[in-house]
Amino acid sequence: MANIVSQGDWDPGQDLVQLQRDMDRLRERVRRPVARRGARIFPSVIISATEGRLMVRAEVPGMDLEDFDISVSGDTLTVQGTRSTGDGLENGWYHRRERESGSFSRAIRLPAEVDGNQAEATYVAGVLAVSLPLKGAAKPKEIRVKVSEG
Amino acid sequence: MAESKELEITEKHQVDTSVHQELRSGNWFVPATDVYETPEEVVLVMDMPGVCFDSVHVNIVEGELVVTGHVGHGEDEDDYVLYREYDVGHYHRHFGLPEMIDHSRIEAAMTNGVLAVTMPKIEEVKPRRIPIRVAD
Repeated sequence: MANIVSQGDWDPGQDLVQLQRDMDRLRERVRRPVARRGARIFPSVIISATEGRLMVRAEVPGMDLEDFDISVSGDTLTVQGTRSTGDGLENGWYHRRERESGSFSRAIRLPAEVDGNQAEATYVAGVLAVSLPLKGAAKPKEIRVKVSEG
Repeated sequence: MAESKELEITEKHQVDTSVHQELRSGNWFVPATDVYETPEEVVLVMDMPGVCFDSVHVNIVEGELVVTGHVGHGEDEDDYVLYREYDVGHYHRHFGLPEMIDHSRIEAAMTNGVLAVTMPKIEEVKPRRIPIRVAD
């Protein structure tokens, strides 16, 4: 009789490990939202939440932090700037041009109220990251409770 | 030059598996690249956001320039992602090098997520002005 499962090699433990791995991968895929396609406004963003603040990230390589104009008004974050490529090429010629240049302005409606005055931005390795503290989440309010003896 | 043109999103291109099958884990993208040539050199300019200067590797392997960039340890791993429009991933691309490049003098620099690889031409290829003497 032909064995469907080769008896000699079958290791139920190994199969369980593989199953566990597949399940982990599936769960990971469900947990992480899929990239949204179709948005045309530059730059693409990732909005995430950590302890007490929202983080808005965008990949905008080849700029300086000073080149960005970032503002927060109410629940809207606005990021503007101009990216230039191909500067100073007077005596040369292009074989290939894939890097886009131009100006951009994007207003992002935030999913929670933030304290715009406390917002901070960093720009590392071409990734802009704006950190926005959530309103009212800055410090847990301390309430003194009077203890009276009696 | 900075144009008044509005920037639109150009989708990041995944590595084309018909040319290069990536077996390492993670997302792999092809960095957007400008290539230009001057009389003295050929220059590659590549967008690799998320890659620091110490995680980019530029090698010459059998006449090809191979560029690999690793993004830092998933920077939003600890955060809870609410909204995602792009994927973060590593970069890989390779270029066939023309004969005229002086391999020993290739230099690379990384600034704000942009890698610039400067490839000088060998002396004989550079255009030279040949002084013409006036014959008596």
